[in-house]
Amino acid sequence: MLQITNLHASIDDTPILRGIDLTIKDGEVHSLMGPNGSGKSTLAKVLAGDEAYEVTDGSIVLDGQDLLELDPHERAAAGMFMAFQYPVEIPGVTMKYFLRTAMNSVRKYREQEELDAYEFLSLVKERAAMVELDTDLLDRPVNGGFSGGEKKRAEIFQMAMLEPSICVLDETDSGLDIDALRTVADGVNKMRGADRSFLVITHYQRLLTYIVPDIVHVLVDGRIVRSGGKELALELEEQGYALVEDGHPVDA
Amino acid sequence: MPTMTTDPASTVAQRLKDLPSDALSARREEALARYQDIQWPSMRDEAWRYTNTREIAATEFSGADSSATIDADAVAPYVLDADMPRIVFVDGIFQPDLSTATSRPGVHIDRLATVMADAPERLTDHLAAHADWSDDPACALSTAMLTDGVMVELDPGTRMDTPLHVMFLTRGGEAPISVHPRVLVVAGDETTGTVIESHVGLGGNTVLTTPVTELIAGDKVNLDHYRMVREGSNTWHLGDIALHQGAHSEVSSCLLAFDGPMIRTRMRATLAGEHGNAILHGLALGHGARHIENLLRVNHMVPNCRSRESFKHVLEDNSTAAFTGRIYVAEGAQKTDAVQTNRNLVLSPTARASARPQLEIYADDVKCTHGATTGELDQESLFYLQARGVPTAAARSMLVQAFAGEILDDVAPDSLRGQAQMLLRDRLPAAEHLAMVE
Ligand SMILES: Nc1ncnc2c1ncn2[C@@H]1O[C@H](COP(=O)(O)OP(=O)(O)O)[C@@H](O)[C@H]1O
Ligand SMILES: [Mg+2]
Repeated sequence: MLQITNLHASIDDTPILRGIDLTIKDGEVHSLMGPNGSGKSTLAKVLAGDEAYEVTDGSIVLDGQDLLELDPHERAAAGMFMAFQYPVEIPGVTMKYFLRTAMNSVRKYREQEELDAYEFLSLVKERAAMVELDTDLLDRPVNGGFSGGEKKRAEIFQMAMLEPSICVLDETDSGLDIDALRTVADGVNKMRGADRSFLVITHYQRLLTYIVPDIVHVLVDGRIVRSGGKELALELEEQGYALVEDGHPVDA
Repeated sequence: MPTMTTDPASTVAQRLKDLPSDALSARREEALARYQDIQWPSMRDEAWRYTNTREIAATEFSGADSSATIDADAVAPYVLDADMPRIVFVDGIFQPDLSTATSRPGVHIDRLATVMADAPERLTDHLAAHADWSDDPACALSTAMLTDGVMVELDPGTRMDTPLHVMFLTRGGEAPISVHPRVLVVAGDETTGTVIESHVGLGGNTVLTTPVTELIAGDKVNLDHYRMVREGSNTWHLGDIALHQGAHSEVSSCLLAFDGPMIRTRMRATLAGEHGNAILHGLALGHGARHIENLLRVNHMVPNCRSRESFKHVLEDNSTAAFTGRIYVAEGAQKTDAVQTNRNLVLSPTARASARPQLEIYADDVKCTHGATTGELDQESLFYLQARGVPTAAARSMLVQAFAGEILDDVAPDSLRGQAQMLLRDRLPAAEHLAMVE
């Protein structure tokens, strides 16, 4: 279970997140929607431990563990996964080498056996197939020269490899055509399970017809102003964020 | 307290008296006179602004014990590939039992000592003719003390089918020694070959080494040269690499500086025939108080030549690196295409990098670019790796591997590239977290 309580975060002394309360129980899929600049990516990065942001108040607890006490790599090992809105290209580090190192570190931390080369490659094959990722990409540098769609698939592929307990997807749908969107959504749906939860951040309702959320939250100006069932997403789509932008926080 | 009364230069003169009298005698004498003239300059001297030679100047070096031998076991860790022909020197002394390289028709691999004695006409036009000893004490000293080394001569139209590995190991003794490794490659027209040098220090004795390599390429030559530097903890390494290229030749030289407290290298390429291509690469790792200096000069003497220089320094702790790159384009050398880059990755607030690009251009239709950057690791990339579970130190090391990879990926011989990748990995923090290089 992920419990976010009264979370405040700023960058360069500018407050961006201004008191977020959000609880995601095991197996649940939550969606976070909101206008550009409302702080969605900030929340995702703060959850993953980006030190560019300063947490000024509040707490983040995952399965009883205080995430704010942990470094980003420890959070990953503890079960946090964040799919970046803009995955960075890292020339000179191949996907395979990076992933092998990441997997080994995470498994060591979780006190699991390291995978040998054969086990690693068979897992790669299986999980790449889930999101129809061309495994030739894995010999290329991390995200190097990947198309927008390939980058997003590669993010979900890494998520499938690392087997997290909470998956934060930051606008994984942006830049995807409808086929790619369906493939990525299928991959996510295959990973759904009783002990894995999701926070699906999106700007559009479109993704949510494929990944159906249990609860939808609306973030405006660093605060959750409204929460509701999946029909809230449709309502927002029809009426726009004006529905909530000038309103006061409303409980579901 | 005893006072220093011996002038190191006169010690050299004394050592010179013991050398054989041969075709090189006059050049040695001349170089000695030059060395005595220049001495070790102070840091006020423009060419020595970054490298302090005060300790070298104050040290009296003797020659190595000429009976120096070594166990095959001690050499084994530095052998690149058991099948690669090699020539081994220990403290400047040739080791016949450990050397495996032999000549074959068209590919002559010889000791310089042998050629000087038996067929000096093969080398008098080339040896000490390209590495400029007129203005540099290390090169002048090397030339004054020139007694042995390796000569590779390729007859026109031949190709070396495997690289040659020349290993210069130093062990030293209680008293400081100086060694003067020397390689001469004379590649006739339409030849192909690869020569790898390893400079390996075994231990912590005080050593001054002044390796000088001259690569003379005729027309349509394809020649690759690598110099791997893994000196001991008290070895001053002050070396030269000089390329002289004919028409349509492509010659590369790559410096891989991994170990040693002071590694200073002058690398020079002279493009003397049209459509020549000179490729000068370097990777140096700075740790502790290591000082690295690379002085490059490319002389575009004729039109339509190309040169590519790429030097990278990774600097940790209190290490320092200085890069000077001069591109000289002679009058009339039109359509010159020269690119020079120097990139410094500075990982510690107390490490220092400096870069001096110098363009000297006397032709108007040329394309010469240079760029120097000094930066830290990219924070966004670092966070991405960490967020996927890579511990901070390992993530930093991966990004250093990536930075160095741009040089190492171009190292063609697999065994050398593999060794360099392993050496790099071993010298990085959190190596145990990094997956093995595939
Ligand atoms: N690195 C940064 N430096 C300064 N301001 C930032 C930075 N990152 C985000 N912001 C600001 O924080 C606010 C929220 O941004 P973000 O979390 O990216 O929003 P969203 O993902 O909802 O579009 C915006 O006003 C943005 O300008
Ligand atoms: Mg965003």
